[in-house]
Amino acid sequence: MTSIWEIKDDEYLYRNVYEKFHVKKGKLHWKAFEPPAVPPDRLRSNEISTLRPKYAIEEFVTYLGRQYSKGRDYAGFFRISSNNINKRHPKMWVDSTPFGDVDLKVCLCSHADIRCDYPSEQEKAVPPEFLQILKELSREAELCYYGA
Amino acid sequence: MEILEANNLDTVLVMKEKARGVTDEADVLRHNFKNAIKLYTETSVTTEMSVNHLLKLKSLTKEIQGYTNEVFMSDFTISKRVADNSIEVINAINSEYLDYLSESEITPGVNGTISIEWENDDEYLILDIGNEYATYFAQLKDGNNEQNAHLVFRNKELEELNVVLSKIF
Repeated sequence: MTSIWEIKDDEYLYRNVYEKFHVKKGKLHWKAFEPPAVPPDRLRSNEISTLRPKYAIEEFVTYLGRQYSKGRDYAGFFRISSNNINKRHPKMWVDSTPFGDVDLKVCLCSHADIRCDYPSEQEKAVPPEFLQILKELSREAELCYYGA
Repeated sequence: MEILEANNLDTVLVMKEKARGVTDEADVLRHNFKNAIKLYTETSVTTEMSVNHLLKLKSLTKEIQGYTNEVFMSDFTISKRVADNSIEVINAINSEYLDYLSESEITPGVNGTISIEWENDDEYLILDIGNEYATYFAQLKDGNNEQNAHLVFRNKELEELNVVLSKIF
């Protein structure tokens, strides 16, 4: 029996994207795969949060996407299989990272991270091999819900 | 390190409107680049005016504001040094290749870099400009590629960008 924490290669992942940042001429921009900066020092993190449609309906994904930006510039989400991530580079992989709420005593398995383990020093340019990886991923991912 | 905020998209839009007789997006970009470079070189590089002008130019890239920290930085900043380096790069690139750029191809990185992307069907060059060096990856025809993990900001070295771009366009 498969554990709910196990992410198989054929499992899809969803991540919300925003018009002005992640979509270029109707296509997904490679920046959509760049790990976001994290306060307070705003260094680039090494993870990209995603949702697992196996455990999160699309309405929940789009709801969260609109919540983050208060509805502004929301463009939909992209989907990509975990295999596309894992096969890419030894320093890039999908990790099951459940999040929970202690007060509610719940733990959600619908969350996963794309780990992107490259140097994240402030103002240091992205290594070329990762520029290639991020670009290839943006071409392989499917932009969903776009324009809806 | 001097850090300034780039947060005035309205100024950028006004700049675009003032680009008289220029309607093509790439031409607008080149026009604004040239204006920025001209202003930048005509005034002291240490003046706040020139730096702010450059940063407003940079904000052509994106309107960055107001989102939650999970998704975006709420107040994007870029250092003068990265701005200087970007000017060096733009100055070094042949104007014909600037024609291929539109606003959406110049984007700020989440950790304060600026990236520029040229794309022609399956071929592309992505350049990321940092504080000490730039990096690039270029996908060329027939699966060939070129890359540089440490491109310094000197004319002689930056000329290789034109060489790579000539293979794409």
